[in-house]
Amino acid sequence: MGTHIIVFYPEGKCAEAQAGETLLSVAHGLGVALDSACGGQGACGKCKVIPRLGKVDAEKSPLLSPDEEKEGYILACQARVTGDAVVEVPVESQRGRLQILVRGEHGLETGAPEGPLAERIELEMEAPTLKDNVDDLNRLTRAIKEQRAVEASPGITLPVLQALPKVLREAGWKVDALVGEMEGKTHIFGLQPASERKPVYGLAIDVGTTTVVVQLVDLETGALVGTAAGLNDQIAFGNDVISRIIASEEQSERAAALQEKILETINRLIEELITKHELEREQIICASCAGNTVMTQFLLGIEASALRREPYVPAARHFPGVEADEVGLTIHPRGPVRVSPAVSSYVGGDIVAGTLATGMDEVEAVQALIDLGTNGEVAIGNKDWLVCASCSAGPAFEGSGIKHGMYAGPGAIERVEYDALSDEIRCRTVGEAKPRGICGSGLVDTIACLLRAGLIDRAGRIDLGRPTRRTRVVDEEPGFVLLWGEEIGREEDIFLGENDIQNLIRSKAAVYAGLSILLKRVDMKASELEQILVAGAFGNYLDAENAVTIGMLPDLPLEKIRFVGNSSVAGARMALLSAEARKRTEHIAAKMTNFDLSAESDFMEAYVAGLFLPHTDTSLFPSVMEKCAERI
Amino acid sequence: MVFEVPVEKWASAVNTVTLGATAAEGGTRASTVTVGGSTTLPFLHFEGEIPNRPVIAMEVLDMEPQSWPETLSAPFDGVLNDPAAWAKKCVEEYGAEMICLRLLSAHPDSLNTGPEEAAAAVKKVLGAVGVPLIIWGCGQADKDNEIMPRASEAAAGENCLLGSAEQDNYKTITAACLADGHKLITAAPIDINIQKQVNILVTEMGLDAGRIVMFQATGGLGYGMEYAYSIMERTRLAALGGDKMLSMPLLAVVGPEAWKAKEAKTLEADAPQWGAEKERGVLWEAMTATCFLHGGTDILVMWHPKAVEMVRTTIDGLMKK
Repeated sequence: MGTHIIVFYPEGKCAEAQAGETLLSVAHGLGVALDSACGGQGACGKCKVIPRLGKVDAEKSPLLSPDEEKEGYILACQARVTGDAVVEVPVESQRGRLQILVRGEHGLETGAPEGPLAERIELEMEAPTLKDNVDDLNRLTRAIKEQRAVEASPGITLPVLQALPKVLREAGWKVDALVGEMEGKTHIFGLQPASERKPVYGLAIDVGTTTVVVQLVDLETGALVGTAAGLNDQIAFGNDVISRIIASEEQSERAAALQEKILETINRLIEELITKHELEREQIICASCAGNTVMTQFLLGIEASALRREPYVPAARHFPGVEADEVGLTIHPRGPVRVSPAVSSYVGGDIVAGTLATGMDEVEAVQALIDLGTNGEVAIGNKDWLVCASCSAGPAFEGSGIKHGMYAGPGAIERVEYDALSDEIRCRTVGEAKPRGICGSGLVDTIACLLRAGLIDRAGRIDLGRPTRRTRVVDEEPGFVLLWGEEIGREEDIFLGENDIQNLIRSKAAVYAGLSILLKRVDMKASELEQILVAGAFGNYLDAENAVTIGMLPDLPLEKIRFVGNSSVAGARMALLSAEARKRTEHIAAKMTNFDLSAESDFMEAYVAGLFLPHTDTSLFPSVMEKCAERI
Repeated sequence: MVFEVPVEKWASAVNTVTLGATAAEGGTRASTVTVGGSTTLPFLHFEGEIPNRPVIAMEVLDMEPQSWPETLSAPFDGVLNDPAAWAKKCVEEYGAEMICLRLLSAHPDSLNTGPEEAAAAVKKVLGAVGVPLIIWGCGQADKDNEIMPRASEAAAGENCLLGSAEQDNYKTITAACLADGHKLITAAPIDINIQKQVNILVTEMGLDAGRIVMFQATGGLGYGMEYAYSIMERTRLAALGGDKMLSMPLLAVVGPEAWKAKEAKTLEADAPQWGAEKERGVLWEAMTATCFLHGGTDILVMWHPKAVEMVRTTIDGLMKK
C-alpha cells in the first residue's frame, strides 16, 4: 500500500497516486485529456486505456470488445492503482482540442461600446486650493460626472480611497479611474496615474455544459481581440447537467469541486488569452457571462440540487453582480462580473443572451431561436412577446451516446456525402484531421444520405438487402460503415449502428416537438415564422437541407433557416459593451414565458410523431416527400 | 322550436377491404367478407353511409389451450385439440363469419413447432371451413419470421388476413403478403403515431394501403379498454378527415383480452359476490366487444359462442336504420 507513480503517455504526465485510487481520477487530477462521458460510473466505455508497464487492478467490462480485451484495454474508471504503472491513453480516448464555435457571430454584430460594464475614464483635475477646497473624493467624482452622465455620485471601494490622496498628488491630478457598473450603480474600483496608462479589456464568456468560450474584447473600440475555447472540466463529473447536479450532491466537497472545475476551465482560458496578447491581469477589468441555469449556479457556487427536483425552481432568475475576486475569476480582482439572467431552471442565461444577440426581441417579425447545445432549447417571439421551452434533446448532437460519436473536435467527421451508385462516401473532418469519430452535423448528413439512398427505412432501420458493401451486422446490431478501418489506419471501422440512428432520431424528434408545441401554444404555424435561427455547437456546419430531410427542422424554404453560431457568447459580448443591452437582457428574461414541456401532455405525442423520418405526418414535409417521389 | 340533429359532413371514408377468395377469384372459399367503407362514425346512419356491418371472427388455436376456464372450454368440448374440427364447429354451429387461426404452438416457450407444422395447420383449417381466414403468428418476432412465410404460402390465393406487421418487424410478413396475395394486419401498441408509421413502412414496401387492416393492442373491460377505445375513435376521425395512412378498417382481439380478466374467470365459489361465472365471463367478453363496436371496430376476434351470439344480436340492432 501507499503511494505509487503513475505515468500517462503520450502526454507524459505523471503523478503520485494513492493505492486504490481509480486511474480516471488520477488522470483527471493531472489534467490528462482522457474522455469520460458518464463521470466514472463505468457506463459509457469512453475512458479506455492500456497499462503498458506495471500493474493495475482492473475489472472486466462488457463495454470492451474481445479484441480490445486481448490488446489489454481496460476502463480507467474501473481500474485501481496497486503499484507504479505506465498507462497509454489511446487516440480514441483522447479528448481532442475543440473546434468550438468561437466566433460566436454570423452576422450577430456588436457595435462600439455604449456604456460598457466597466471602463477607464481619463481624468484631469485642478489641484485643490484654499478657494476650491473640496475633498479629494468629491473632486474625483465631480470630474467623472463632467465626462459621464452618471446619475448619483459613484461609490468607491475602500482600497481605492485609501490610496486616493497619494495617487492624485503623485500623478499631478492626471489619473485614470476604473469605473464599473454593479447592480445599476456606478463605482470606482481602480485608480492609476495617467502616465501608466494601458489599454483595458473585458471578457465575454459562454459557460456551456460541454464547452466554454472566452472572448477578449477591447473596451474602447468594442473590437474582438482574441478568443479561447475549451472543454468544461466538469465533464469529469458527467456529460449532462443532471449527472453533475447528482455528483454535486454526493459529497459536499464535490459541490465545491464542480465550482472549482468550471473556474479552472475559465481561468485557464483567460490565462491563454493573457499570455497570447501579453497582458497583465489587471488590464482585464470586467466580465460578462452567459450560461444555462445549472452552469450559472455552479459558477457562482450556488447549491443546485433543487434544479433537478420537481417543481424545478432555480435559486434566482436575476443573479447579483459580483466582484471578480469574490467569484474567483483571475482578472482585475475588483472588476465587476455580470451573469446573464435566466428564465427558468432549464431555460437559462444562454438563451436570454442568444435572444439578445439575434435581436428578435426588437423587431415586428416573429422568429424562432433553436439552441442545440447539450440540452436544446427553443424560443419564439418578437418585440412584443417571447416564449421559450427546453426540449430535453439529449447530447446526441454533441456526439454523446453514439458509439463512434465525438465532440466537434479535430478528426470529427462533420460533413458526409454518399453516392449510392459507386457506394462511395465523401466526408470532411474538423481541421481536416485524420477521422476519429463523427459529430452531430456528420450524423445529420449521414442519416439524410441513408434515407435518400433507401438504406434505412423511415423508422431508421437498416435495410440489409440493398446492394452495398457498407451495411452489415456488428455485434448483432445492423449498421452502416462510414469509413473502413484500413482507410484510416485503425483496426475498427467507423460504424453507425441502428441504436445510434435511433438516438439521433430521438434527439431530432425532441427538437421538432419542442418547436411545434411551442408554436401551437402561441397558435402559429412554422410557415408563419419569418426565420428560424439555429445556434449551438454544430450550428456552423449543419446542412440545412439535410436537417429538414430528417425532420429536425420544419420544411421551410432553406433561406428562412439561418445559422447564428454561438449566440450565447455574442449576447454576453453585447451585454459587456452596452448598458442598453444589459437592460434589454433583464427585459427579455422578465417577459419570456416559459412552458414546461414535461408537464404538457401533447409534447409526448408530438415527440412520438417525430420518431420517424422525416415525420409521421408526411404532409408536414412536402419538399422532402417530393424529393423521395422523384427518386422512386 | 324544432330540434335539428347536427350532422357532420366528412371529407373521406374508411377503406373497403374484402377478405377471402372464391373459386372464381382464384381461391377455394365458399364466402367472402367485406368490411369498412363507412363515411361516418359508427352507427350514425343519419349522417353517412355504413355499407358493411362489423364482422365476428372466432379464434382457433393450433394447440390445445392451456388453463381455459370450464365455461370457455365447454362449448368446444372434444375439438380443442383439433383446429380443423374446432373451426368447423365455430362456423357450422356458432355462425362464425371468419376464423382466426392463431399459430401459438410455434412459440419457443410453447411447443416450438416449425414452419411445416404451421403450414399444415393452415391447410387443415382451410380444408375444413369455407369462410375467410385470419392467420396470426405466435407473437415472437424471430419465430414468426420463420413460420409466417410458409403459413402464407400454404394459403396462397385465398386472400387471407395475415398478422401482424409491427414497427420493429414488418418486412418478412409484408413480403409474404405481397407474394401470396393476402391482406395484412398492421399492429401498434395503443399509439396512433406508431400505427401510422407502420402503415407508411409497409406501403413503402409496395403493399397497397387498401390491403391493410389496423390493430391497436386491445385492452379488456376494466383493463385499459378505454385507451384502446379512444385510440380507435381518433383513428376513425383521422380516416374521415382524409388521412390516407389511417383510413384502414380496424380489428380488435376481444376474446383473449376479456378472458384474461379475473372478473371473467374466477369461480363463483371463490367470489360469491360476483355471481355465476358462467354468465360473468360471457358478459365480460360481450361487453368488451360492444364497446369496441362503438369505437369503430370492423372485425372482432372473439372466443365464447354465447358472447358471439349476443354481440351479433347487438350488431343487428345497431345496423337497423
